[in-house]
Amino acid sequence: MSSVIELDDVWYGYDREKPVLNGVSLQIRQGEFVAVIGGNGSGKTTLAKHCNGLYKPSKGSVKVNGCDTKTMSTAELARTVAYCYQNPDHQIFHSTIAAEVSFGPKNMGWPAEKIEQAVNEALEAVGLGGMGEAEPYFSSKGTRQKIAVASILAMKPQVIVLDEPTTGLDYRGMLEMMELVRRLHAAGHTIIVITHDMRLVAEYAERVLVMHRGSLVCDGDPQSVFAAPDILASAQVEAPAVYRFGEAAGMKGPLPLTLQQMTQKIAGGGQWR
Amino acid sequence: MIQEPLLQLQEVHWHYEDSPTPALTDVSLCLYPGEVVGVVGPAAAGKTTLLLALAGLIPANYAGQFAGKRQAQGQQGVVFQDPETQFIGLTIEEELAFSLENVGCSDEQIEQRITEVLQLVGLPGFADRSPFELSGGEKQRVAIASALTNGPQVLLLDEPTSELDPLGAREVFALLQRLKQESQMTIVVSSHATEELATFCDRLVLLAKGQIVLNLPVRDFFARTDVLDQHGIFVPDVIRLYHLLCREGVLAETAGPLPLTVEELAARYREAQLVREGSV
Repeated sequence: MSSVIELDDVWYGYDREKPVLNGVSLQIRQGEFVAVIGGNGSGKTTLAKHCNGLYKPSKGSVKVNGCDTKTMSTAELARTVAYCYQNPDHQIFHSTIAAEVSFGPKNMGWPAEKIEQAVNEALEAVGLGGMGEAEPYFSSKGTRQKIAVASILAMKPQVIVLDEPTTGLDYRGMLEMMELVRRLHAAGHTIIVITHDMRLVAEYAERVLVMHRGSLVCDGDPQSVFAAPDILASAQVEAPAVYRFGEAAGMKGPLPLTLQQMTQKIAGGGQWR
Repeated sequence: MIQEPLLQLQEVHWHYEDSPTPALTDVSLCLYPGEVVGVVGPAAAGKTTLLLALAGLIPANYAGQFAGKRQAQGQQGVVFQDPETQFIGLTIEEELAFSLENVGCSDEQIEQRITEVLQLVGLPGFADRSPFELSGGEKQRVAIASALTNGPQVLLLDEPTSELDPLGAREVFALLQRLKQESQMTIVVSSHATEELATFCDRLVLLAKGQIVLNLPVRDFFARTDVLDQHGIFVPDVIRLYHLLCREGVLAETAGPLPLTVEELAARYREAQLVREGSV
């Protein structure tokens, strides 16, 4: 797999004395599903905003598909890497859903037919097909979150960055949102999710980046991150309940991360008892 | 001795003006001194409306049709979902002084009470800061402090953590846990965070389409996974895991109460293991 985003010794600071990122290097490959975790102020949102050029490094380089973000405008980068804010109300500003979703494609100078098709496809993908004329502000938080995703999806970005996509949603809303993200991943998009929700990490992510005080302190699969108590403590999170039970019960072999895995392990019998 | 409820709704119906459907239908709920009650329900179930009715803000401040009865002793403090919607002061001191000034407290009383509540919510020395400069968790703790200034008997919180990241949410639940232990206050909190509610509440209420579907002590409530699933309520993994282990014959349901935490479940598992080893 080729790398779509490449950070090489990236430093960034709002204040010269206190850098928010201290020399982060990593590569994200096409088609990966990556979770970024870390405590408040660990630099995870700053890291994510480097991926689409909203921030440019003070030192070091960020390359998107091999091109240095310093040589590209944010508008150019937005075609490849789309960023979806934590609070959809920070991003929604039009009076109809269709107008909201067509804003990006219009700015990319697409012809009207292509825009219409992209808007329809994006609304269909998030489960809001035929809702184009509705007003975004009168819909539920879950729907507004989907509108925000549709509006970036319409630009057909290769990489989608989602900042805490499930905050404030009820359980059904959360499941719908994450199933949507799973479908986007299956359709070939590279997904980067910033989250504190370890159930979500266990259920969906293939790779976890742990940020702590501006540094990347761990880069591995969920299993290896949950097995490292110091790393979890630095990110101010706990492993999911299923994993913690496996530990407390003294299960052998790789510990299940999700209820589904646990069900298989128990139904399979044998080694775990 | 049977305790008198502190706050009571009897057969309450409420229909917002301009709404096609009623928001609350035949809702009866009693709150007793010192108990902590969680309210869960899918989006648009009527959780906020129920809390507004408990606070007496419905029907007083809203247009619509009300039927039924509300009886309350003492005062209620209310905390809303987004703390910023309730801030009116430029400093935390101004914010907290507002309700005390309105009941005619002296400057000394106000200052003393502000120091006390800031201590209580774990923000001592914050009086001169702007509430808008704080982290989400701190903002919500200021909102809680402001609801506590007049010494309410009942604290009503409407999804106090839904706008917060998990760390802020943990901060708020830790404060509520401390208030529960130290103040003996009656607390009602609506939330989607059933994992936190399971370890914090004495009793839970499931609300759906404006009606109370379940109103049970916490362990009995989470035993009803069928009803919770039907209404799309997240049943914590520990409880699902427990039911799974019972189904597979690893644990026996008759051996004890429903475990609510990983620690409780692991203890049950170890007991069962000892029994198995002993019987071999």
